[in-house]
Amino acid sequence: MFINLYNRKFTIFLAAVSDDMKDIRQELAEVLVNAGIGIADGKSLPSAQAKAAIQAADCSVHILGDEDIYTLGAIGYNSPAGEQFRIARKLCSEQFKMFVWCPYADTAARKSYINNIRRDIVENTVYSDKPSSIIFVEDIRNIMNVKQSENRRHVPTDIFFLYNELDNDTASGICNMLRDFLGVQKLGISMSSDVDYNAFISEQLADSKVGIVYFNYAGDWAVSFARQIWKDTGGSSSQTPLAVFGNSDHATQDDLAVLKDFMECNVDDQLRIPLDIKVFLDKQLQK
Amino acid sequence: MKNGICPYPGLRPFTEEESIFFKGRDLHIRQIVKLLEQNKMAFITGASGDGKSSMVYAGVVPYIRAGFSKAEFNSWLVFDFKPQRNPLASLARSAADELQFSYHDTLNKMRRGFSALVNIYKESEFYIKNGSDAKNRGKNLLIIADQFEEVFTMNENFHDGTPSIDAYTCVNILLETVRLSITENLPIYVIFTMRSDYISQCTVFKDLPEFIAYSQFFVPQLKRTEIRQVIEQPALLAGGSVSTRLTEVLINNLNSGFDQLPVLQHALNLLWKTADNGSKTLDLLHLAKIAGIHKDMLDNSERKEFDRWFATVPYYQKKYFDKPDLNNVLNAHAGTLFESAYDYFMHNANWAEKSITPDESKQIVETAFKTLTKIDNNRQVRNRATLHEITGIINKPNITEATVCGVLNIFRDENNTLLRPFAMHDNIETQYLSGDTILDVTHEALIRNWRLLSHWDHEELENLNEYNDFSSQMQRWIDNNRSPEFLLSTGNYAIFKQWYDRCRPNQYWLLKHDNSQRPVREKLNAAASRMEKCNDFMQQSNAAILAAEQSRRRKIAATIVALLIFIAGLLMFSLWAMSEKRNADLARKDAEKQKNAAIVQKTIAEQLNDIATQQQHRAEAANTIANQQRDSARLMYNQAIAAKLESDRARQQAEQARREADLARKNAEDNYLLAQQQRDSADLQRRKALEANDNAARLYYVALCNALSMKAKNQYEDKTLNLRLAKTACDMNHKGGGDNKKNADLYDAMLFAMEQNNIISPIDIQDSPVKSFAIDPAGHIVAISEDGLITKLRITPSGGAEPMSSPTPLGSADNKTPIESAVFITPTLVASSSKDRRSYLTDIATNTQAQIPGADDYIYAASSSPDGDRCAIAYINGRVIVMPTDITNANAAPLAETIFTSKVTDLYFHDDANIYVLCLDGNLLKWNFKTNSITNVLTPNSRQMTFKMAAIPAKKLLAVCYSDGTMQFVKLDNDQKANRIVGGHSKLENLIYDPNTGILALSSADKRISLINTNDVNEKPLVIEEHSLDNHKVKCMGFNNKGVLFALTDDNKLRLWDTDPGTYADALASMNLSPLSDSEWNHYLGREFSKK
Repeated sequence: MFINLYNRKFTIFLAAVSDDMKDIRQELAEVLVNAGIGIADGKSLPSAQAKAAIQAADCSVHILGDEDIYTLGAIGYNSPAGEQFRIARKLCSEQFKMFVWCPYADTAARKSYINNIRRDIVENTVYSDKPSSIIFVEDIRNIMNVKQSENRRHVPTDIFFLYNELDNDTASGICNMLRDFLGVQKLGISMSSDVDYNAFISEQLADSKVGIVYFNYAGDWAVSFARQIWKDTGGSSSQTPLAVFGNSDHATQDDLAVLKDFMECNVDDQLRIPLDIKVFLDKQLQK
Repeated sequence: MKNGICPYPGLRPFTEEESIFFKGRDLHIRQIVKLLEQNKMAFITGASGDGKSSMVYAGVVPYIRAGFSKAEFNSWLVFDFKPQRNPLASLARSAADELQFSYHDTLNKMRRGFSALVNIYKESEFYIKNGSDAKNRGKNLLIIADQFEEVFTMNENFHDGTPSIDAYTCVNILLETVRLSITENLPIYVIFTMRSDYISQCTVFKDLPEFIAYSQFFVPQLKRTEIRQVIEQPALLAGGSVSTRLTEVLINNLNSGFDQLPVLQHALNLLWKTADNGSKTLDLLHLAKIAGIHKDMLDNSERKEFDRWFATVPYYQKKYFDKPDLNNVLNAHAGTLFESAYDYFMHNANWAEKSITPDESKQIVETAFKTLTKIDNNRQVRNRATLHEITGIINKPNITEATVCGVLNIFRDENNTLLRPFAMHDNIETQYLSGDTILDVTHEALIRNWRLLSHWDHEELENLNEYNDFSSQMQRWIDNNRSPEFLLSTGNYAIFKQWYDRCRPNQYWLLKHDNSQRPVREKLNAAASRMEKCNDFMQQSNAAILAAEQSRRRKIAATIVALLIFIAGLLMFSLWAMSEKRNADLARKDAEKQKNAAIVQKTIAEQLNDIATQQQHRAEAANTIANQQRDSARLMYNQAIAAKLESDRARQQAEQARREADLARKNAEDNYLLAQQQRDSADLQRRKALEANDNAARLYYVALCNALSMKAKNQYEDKTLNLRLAKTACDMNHKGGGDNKKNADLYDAMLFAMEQNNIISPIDIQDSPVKSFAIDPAGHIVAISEDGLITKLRITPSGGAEPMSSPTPLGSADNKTPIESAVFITPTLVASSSKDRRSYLTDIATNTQAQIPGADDYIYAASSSPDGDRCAIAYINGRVIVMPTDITNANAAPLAETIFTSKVTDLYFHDDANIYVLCLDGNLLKWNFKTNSITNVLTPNSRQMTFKMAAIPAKKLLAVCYSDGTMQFVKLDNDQKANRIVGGHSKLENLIYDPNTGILALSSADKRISLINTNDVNEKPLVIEEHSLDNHKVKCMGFNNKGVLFALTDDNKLRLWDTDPGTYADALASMNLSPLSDSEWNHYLGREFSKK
């Protein structure tokens, strides 16, 4: 399916606004309803109930008005709009999504005030200055419909061992040797399989101490494969280090040169590869 | 990961090697791969700049190579081509290279169309039908026809709505390859990428529309979440990071429509480099530095850093910061390169002759970019050209291909990549290009966003329109056998001459605009011939115009000459006649004049004769007199000479004498000054010696004083000995000129001696433990006990205290509840809390009391406003209220209130709106109770607690005590930190300031009180030591108006000390104490110190 049906139902907390934004708030509420998004109305809620309502919603939306009510120490600091803004902002640290909308900034004072807000944007806060409420709601629906990864069967292990099905025999030999003293999960990649390898590998790698890409004959494949999973699993920010080991009978160190900036890679005698893997694992565990 | 790898490629597409940083299109890549698996082809269309090529090279290709798609063989053979000026040749060259056949054979085979490519693949070693290792040795084939729109944009391929034969054959082969791949289930896959605005033109190729409909993928616009990935993920993969606020600004400032991604990628590339190659988090400051946002978006510190940096920016770059915007980043970058191309050329292109001026460098860049772009159907598009062609269009003898290459290299530099092919720093071959190298603008986003280039393009279009007009007139001239009648008229010639001089067309310029499908060589020859005709047409037109002009001028000149000759003849005749008449008149007049003159001359001659006779007689007499005078003058002259010589001699003698006298006087003056200096120096030395002597004597006495002070602090059987020693120490200090106020040892010794002799002793106040006390203006002590009784005491002359009346209950008599806390707001106003958590304000003078409403905890601190009308009260639970001090209004609601998260330990009501609040966690806050805003004034560096503070209004300072024994001064006018001094050796618990003496008394947990002189905080403070407090802790303190310090200690006693040591010194002096005997002196100080 090439189109997103946006079938995830969610509720948005529509925060109170200052007087100048009442009409825009009403317009936004109608657009949200048309987009199939549930609304928790925060217009006239006391602060204690507002907090509970925000927590109960999936996300919140705040329209920045003319009043400087969101900045600590300003007049109107205790207004419902300001309080709800701050409650939601605190929740952002707990993966709560907060949408801040500023449909226009027509004066220098307002621009300056908006700049202050934009400078203080924190994680999980989405700021938008799109003048159209429809574009803004499209963004909300898109962000709230990001597909969550499915839970697949993966188990915690020491080594996640990946190879091409062409090298099945030698790969099994290495795994058998390693299994005597380490936990090993192996996965042979088959070109004719329907398995969504990409997603499965990402999740299993996250549950492994190291990831090993091994090759005997399939050297060309291993280089492309290792680069692809390095990218899919977070690259330099990944918690699971990745290494490529190959049989020196069919490849040289130069064949792996394109990988050396990103991960450990080595070609060695087939018999020494299990030991190389063990050394690599130990080195990573020491870090 | 290796440092310094930039994960953002800039304007150029991602390469397959850079696929590791390509993010944001994961879903689309999977969708395209699915299309390939199902249909064997994918026709990818989309707007310019939406990343079609990147998605294929850095997305689809690595994905399938990694084995994430279903295919027959394990490995992949990928070859790509761009149609360029001959699609079939491009396809054949790429296929021959990858499938390892000769180019010419491959091209010949392909000219037969249809299954040619499939046959070649089947003949290659990569297609293995059967066999045990087929899966391993065989390779799937992926063909990528990139930028397929070149089939339509290149005139060689598509002209007047008709494709060239080679273009048609190329499309025929690709479509047949897909067809055969489906029917025979071959592992061959084809990807086309094409700009969607050319899709309607695809109908000229048979079957192509059907294939497009069969497997088209229209590249979607990136959603907000995907743009976020494009921004943040590459940095994370490369070990860097992007601030959330920068991501939000980039997403919001990104224009929708064309060039979204190239503009973003280019900005990210520059951001990464600006953030020290990703070693810093990419943030708003970096965006401001590349002219992407206005500096107003930055906070103060960032703005200062930006201003410092901006001052170093070259002048020509500054104009790009006038209207900063995300789309302006590319304009600013390209504009800066344009301005600095000359310097780059001079510093880098060592292989080129450097004989151009900066203006010529700019002309090279302008001509090159005008050549590399064109307007096609009102669209600005790329136009590839060779270095040779560009150099030809420039057409200047001093500008060679090497010069053009060197000047353009800044745009090809691997850090800029605005022109292809790119120049790598570590590969000289990529820097120096041959003449036949094709140059190309990296992305059309540059054409649309570089304002100068847009301007050039429109200028070029105007030039082309002028040329077309010129060309049609020239053609008419040629068609009419070059008849002079069809040459340009004077007006037209003037117009076209202006264009000619501005555009300076030559054969290469004509070649660029030749849309025919002939081979390039042929087109170049035709352009040269055409150019010759143009020049001929211009020259002949010019010559004809000049000839016509000359002929016209000649006729006019002849007429003018004839007329002039006639007029001249007439004039000459008239002049001759007039001249003859005038001559006759003149002759007559001359004759009359000569006659009159002769008569006059005769008369004059006779008169002159008489005069001459008279003058002769006079001259003879004068001659005689002159002879006499000359003899007399000669005599006087000789006398004068003699006198002059005599006077010169005398003058010289006088001058000599004067010089000698001057010299003598000067010597005398020098000697006098020297003597004076020596005398002054001697005086100075003598004074220093005397001073040193005095100092030594003073120090000697002070040392004796200190030694005696130490002795006076010992316990002796004869306690008067303490007094005598202290008195002697005072005498020594006095002799030594020491200031009693600065001698802490002496002060302590005097206190000790007096305590030993019970001259100073603690005062019992009352039986019940005292909670708090204050000293009223009359100097009386007002104490409040735990059981809620007020006692007023008078200090007796002997230093004791006596009650002035019997204790009375605080407030109303029926209020018997014991109190938990009592805080004196003023000496006559008390805020108190009863054990049952009710709070009261009590006026001591009238003993009237009012309950404070809403209290739910004990009062801990309070402070009065400067005008005394209001007070601030702090409760233990952090609640602070502002109340009127008028008891009759105390029942009303507080004027303001707030709650602090930390326990409030002290308050200072500063002015009409602000209250300083000291918190137990060490923070000093400023509460504006009118706006209900709170600002943080002080935050402790480590885990320190604070208990008390005191204002020093005279110095506009606030002193805050810390648990580590230090005291921080804060300036009240600007809340900035002032000095920080050591106030004690352990936790500081109480603090009070005496405005009369300027002394700040600090009690610490080690049972000492330090007396700090606020007029000089660096002066060593006087200390009331443990023995003076009988080893008890101070609960609260107070000063009377004479500088006497009162301290209530935890043994429920009141102690008082005069903070002026002089008082004790005077008391000792007035006592009848015997001086130390010689033996005592020697005993306590030693024999080496003479008593005298």
